[in-house]
Amino acid sequence: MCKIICKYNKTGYLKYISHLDVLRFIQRAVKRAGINAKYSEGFNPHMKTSFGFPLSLGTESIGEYFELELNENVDLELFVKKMNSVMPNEMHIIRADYSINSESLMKRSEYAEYLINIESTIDEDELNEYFNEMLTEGVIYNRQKKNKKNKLVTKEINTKEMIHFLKAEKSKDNKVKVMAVFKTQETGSMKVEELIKLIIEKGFAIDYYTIMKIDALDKEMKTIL
Amino acid sequence: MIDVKKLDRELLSVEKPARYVGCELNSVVKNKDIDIRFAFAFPDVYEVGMSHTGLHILYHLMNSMENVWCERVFAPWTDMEELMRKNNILLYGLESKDELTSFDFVGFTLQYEMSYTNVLNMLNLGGIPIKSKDRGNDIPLVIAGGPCVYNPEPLYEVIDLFTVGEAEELLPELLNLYNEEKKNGFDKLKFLERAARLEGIYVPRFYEEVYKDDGIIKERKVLNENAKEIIKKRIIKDLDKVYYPEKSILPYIDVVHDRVVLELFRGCTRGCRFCQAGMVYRPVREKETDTLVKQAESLVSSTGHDEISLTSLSSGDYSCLPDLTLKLLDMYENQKISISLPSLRLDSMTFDIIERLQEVRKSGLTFAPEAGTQRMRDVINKNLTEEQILGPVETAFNLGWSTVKLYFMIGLPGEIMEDVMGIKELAYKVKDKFFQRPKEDIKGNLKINASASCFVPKPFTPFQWVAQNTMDEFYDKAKTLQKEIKDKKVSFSYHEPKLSYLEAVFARGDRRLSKALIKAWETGCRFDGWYDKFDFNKWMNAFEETNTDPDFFALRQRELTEVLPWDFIDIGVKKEYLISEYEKALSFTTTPDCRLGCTNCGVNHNLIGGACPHVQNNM
Repeated sequence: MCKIICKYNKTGYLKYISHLDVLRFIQRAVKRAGINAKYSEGFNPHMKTSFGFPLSLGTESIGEYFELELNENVDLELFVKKMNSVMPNEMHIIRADYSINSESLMKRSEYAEYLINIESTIDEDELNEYFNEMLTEGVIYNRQKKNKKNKLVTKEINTKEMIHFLKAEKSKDNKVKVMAVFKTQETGSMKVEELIKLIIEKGFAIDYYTIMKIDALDKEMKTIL
Repeated sequence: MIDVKKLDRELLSVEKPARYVGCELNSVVKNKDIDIRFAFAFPDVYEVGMSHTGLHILYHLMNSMENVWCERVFAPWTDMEELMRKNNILLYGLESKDELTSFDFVGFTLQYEMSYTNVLNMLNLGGIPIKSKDRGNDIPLVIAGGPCVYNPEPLYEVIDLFTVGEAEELLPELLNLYNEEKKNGFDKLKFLERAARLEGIYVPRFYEEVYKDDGIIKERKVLNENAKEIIKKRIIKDLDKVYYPEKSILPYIDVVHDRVVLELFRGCTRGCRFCQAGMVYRPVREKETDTLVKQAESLVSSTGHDEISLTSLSSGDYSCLPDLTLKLLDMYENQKISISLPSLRLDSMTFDIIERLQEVRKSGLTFAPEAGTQRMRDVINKNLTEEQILGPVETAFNLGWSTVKLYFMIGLPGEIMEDVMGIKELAYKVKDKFFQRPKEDIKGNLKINASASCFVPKPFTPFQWVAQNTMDEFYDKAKTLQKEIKDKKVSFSYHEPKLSYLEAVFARGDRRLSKALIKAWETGCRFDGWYDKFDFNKWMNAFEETNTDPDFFALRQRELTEVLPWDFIDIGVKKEYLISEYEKALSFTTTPDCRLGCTNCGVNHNLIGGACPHVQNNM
C-alpha cells in the first residue's frame, strides 16, 4: 500500500476540458494502465485520488498535480511509463514520487505561478507601472459570485492581498509576456482572467492572449514536486 | 484549415467547448496528404453522436484503410452555431480542423427523422450547397446511411447517394471505387453511375416519382441505365469475421452512453409488429462468445471504461448469454467493471444472472410491456402475458429492487379507451405485487415510473399502412391517463404528440417533403428532436408555405395495393409477409418467435445471406 504524487501537464486543446472531466479521465487512465489502485468501500466504489486546485477552463498548465492511493508499492519509473502509454501527448505525467506528506495537495499549494502571453503591442513599462500599483497600493475590484442560495453576492478584492509577484517583459517577437505569482487561499485566489480584465479596463488594448500555469508552489516557494 | 486563433478567442463563451476540439484518446490523426478524406457526420450534438456504436465502428474501419482518413463532425449546438456564423468560421473536422469543403466525402448517419434539419444546417455551416444538383466535381460528395435510409426519399434532393443496410463491406467498396475514379480525373456523374451498380447503393437523381391526381404514387421511373430498379439492403454474413474496432474514442466530457459496447447479435426473431429494427435487421446473426470476450478485453484496456454494455435488440435471446455474462464477470469483477444488459426481456431472463450483475453496481429495472391489455399486446405481437410481466416483477421485488420503469405506447392500431386504461391497471398491479408480499419482505421505497410514447407507424413494418392517431387523440389519451393515475408510488409521463406527429410525417414521407424540410430549416428549425428547440409552429408554416399536406403522410390509412415511397428497397422480408402480419394483427392473432420455427418472412430466401443461422440450427 502506498500513495503516489504525480505532476502532469494539460496543454493544447485540452485546456477546454473541465476539472471534473480531467478527474474522471485520469482515473480511467489508471485503469487502462493496469495499475492496482485502491478503491473506497461501499455500494459505489471509487478510486482514491485527490487533486490540486482546479485549473480554470481555457488555461494551459505544465504544473498540475494529483495523488493516488495504491494497493501495492510500484516502481516509479515503470508507473510513469505505463501511465504515459495510455495518455495523450497533451496530458502526460511529468514526474511521480511516493507521497509521504499527510497534508492535502490543496493545503500545500500556497502559490500559483503563471505565464501570460499577450499578443498585442502594449508598452511594457506602462504596464509594469500599473502592476506596481497593484502590488503596493493595491487595486480594488469586485467579484460577483452566486452563493448557496443562488443569489448574486459581490465581494471586494484587493490585488495587494492576492498577488505575490507580477512583471511584464517584452518578448522577442514584439509581444508582451507577463509573469505572475498569485497567492492561493482557501477562500479562492485571484484568477488570471480577472487580472486581464483589470489591464483592459485600465486602457491597455489586448486582442489575444494565452495563459500557461507554470507550477504550484509550497509556502517556501518551492515546487510541490 | 479554419483560423484556429479566431476559434480560440471565442470558444470559451460557449457551453461545453470540449465538444468542438477533438484530441480525444484513440482519435486518429493522419497526414493530410492522403487519397481520401472522409468526414463522418452525426447530425446531433457531440454527446449524442459519441454514444453511437456505429460511429466508432465505421470511424476505425475507415481509418484502418491506409489511404483513407476519417474524421468526425457533429452538429454544433445553437450557441456555437451563432459563434461560427458571426465569426465566419466554417464547420470543420474535429481531428484536422479543416473545413468540410476540403473533404472528399461528408457521410451522414441518419438515426432519427428529427435530425434532418441538422443535416442541412451542417452542410450550410460547412460551406457546402445543400442540394445535390448544386454541387459540382470539386465539392465533397454527400452520402448517408443508417436506419432512416430505409425510406430515403425526403432527403432525395440533398444526398448524392445512400448506402442501404450494413455498411462495413459496402463503404470500403465505395471508397475504393472513388479512389479509382479520382485517379482518372473525377467526374461526379460518372462516379455516381458506377456506384449505382454496387449492391446497396441508391442514387436518387437516377429516379423519378410520378404521382396520380389523388397524390398517391403512380410509379417510379428509372432514369439512368446504371441504376437498379430494386435496391437490396446489404448485410454482413459473418459477424465473427467482420471488422470490429479494438479501440474506441474516449470522450473527455460526459456523453450519453459512456461505456464499452459489445454487440451480441444483429436482427431479432421476436417479430413485434411496430418495430422497424426487428424487420430490417433480419436475419439474426450472433457473434461467438469467444469473439465477444476478445473484443471486451481490447476495448476495456484501450478505454478504461467501468461499464460493459451488452447490446442487441433483445439480449435475453442471445444463445450463450449466461456463459458470456459469467465469463465477463469473472474477468472484471475485481476491476469494479460492471456489466449492463439494456435490452432485456425479463420473461426470458434467469434472475441469477441479473443478481450477479448487480453485485458491482445496483441500478433500476426497466420493463417494456408496450401495451396495457392482452388484446393490444396480441395486436403488436409482443407475445407477453400478464403473468410473464408480473412474475419477473415480483421476483425483482423479492431480490430487493424497488424502482421500476414501465414503457408503453399509445395510439396502437385498434386501440380503444379500455386499452389505454389498461396502462393504469397494469401499473397498479405492479404496485400491488410490491405490497402483497409479507410485511417483513417489504423494504425500500417503491417508485413506479410509467411512460407512454405516441405510436409512429414505420416503413417495413406490418403497420406501415396504418393511420397515426391525430394529435388530439394522443392528447386525449395521455391526459386521461395523467388524470387517472393518482398515486404517490406511481408516476406517469408521456412523449410530446407534436414531435411524434412530425416524426410520422417524415418516416413515411416521399420526395414532396423536401421543399418543406428546406423551408423549415431556412426559417430556423434545428435540433427538432430536442423538445426545448422544437418549434412546431415554424414547421406548420413551412408545410403551408410549400403547399405540403403533412396529414397525407401521417394520418392517412393506405391501401395495401398502394405503391409506397420505399417499395423499391428490398430488405429481404417479403411484402406479403408484412401484409399477412398486418391482417393477423387485425384479428388479434399472434405469430410465434421464429426461433421456434420459421414463419416464412422471406429473408432466408431473398437475401444473399442464405438461410437464417438459427433456422439451420433447428433443422
